[in-house]
Amino acid sequence: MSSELEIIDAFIDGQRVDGDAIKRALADPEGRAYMIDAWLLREAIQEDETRASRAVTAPASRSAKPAQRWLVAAAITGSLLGGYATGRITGRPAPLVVAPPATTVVAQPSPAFPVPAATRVIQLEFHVSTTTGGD
Amino acid sequence: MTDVERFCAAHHDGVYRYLRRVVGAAESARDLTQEVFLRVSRAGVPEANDIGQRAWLFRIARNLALNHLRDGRRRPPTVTFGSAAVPATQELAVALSHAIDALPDLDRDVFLLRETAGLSYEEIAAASELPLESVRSRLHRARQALRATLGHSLALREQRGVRCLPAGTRDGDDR
Repeated sequence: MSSELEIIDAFIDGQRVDGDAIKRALADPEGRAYMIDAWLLREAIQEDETRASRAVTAPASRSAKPAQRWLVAAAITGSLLGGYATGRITGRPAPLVVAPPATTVVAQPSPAFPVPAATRVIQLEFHVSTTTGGD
Repeated sequence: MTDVERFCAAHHDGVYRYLRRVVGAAESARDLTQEVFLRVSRAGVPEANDIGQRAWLFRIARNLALNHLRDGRRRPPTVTFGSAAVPATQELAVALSHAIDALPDLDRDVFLLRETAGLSYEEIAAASELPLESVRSRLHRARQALRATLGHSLALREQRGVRCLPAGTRDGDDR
């Protein structure tokens, strides 16, 4: 029986086997059970490999995140310091560009009641000397 | 990409999977995998057919793994998924690790070269310096021993159905 099971081993391992030999081996219930178990073993090993590789890569990706954050922080700090240093070295302050004031159009409210006419008009004059004509 | 780089890329996963099973610890396996490919890049890939090249590569990996184990760094217990409550889906994986550890050294090595690295009988014979017939019988013996140890777990698993997979891949690999 052992040699027949070795035929099954060779068959599931991709070796070239004699057709009649594998037919004989698989005609026996023990041969068929052996083949199924060999496949189940293989599947279990491969699932275990997949699980192990996930277990290895998962903590690595988690630990990479703080490192990435530090890199981003360092890049921002570096670019700020670089910009500051460049400005100091060139010594020419960048022209101050004043943005045009934002204008807001406000709709004139229509009076809710009629405005009365002015009874007295006071004219204000500027540049009138207060020293002349006094003393 | 040079020939050496192509060779390393093609076999990196297989070497790592084999070493992880042999030495038990993922970190040691990574270090040893690097060492294997460092040696390959120093020596260059030998002029040989694919079988000869793969056998040569796994002979390096196997020798490094055996040296690592011999150096007194004992193989750690291979309970990968925690020793407390083990989920039912992982029960077979834990039992399998223990059962593989319990195999005689050479049988285990032949079995792992076949199942984790996907080497052919001829490649295993060349890598482990054994006659082809010895590879056949050791592989069969290893499977029979694992079957005897894991019979109950395998029977439970059989209820989920069976898939015919090529050796030396990971579940979900496109191959």
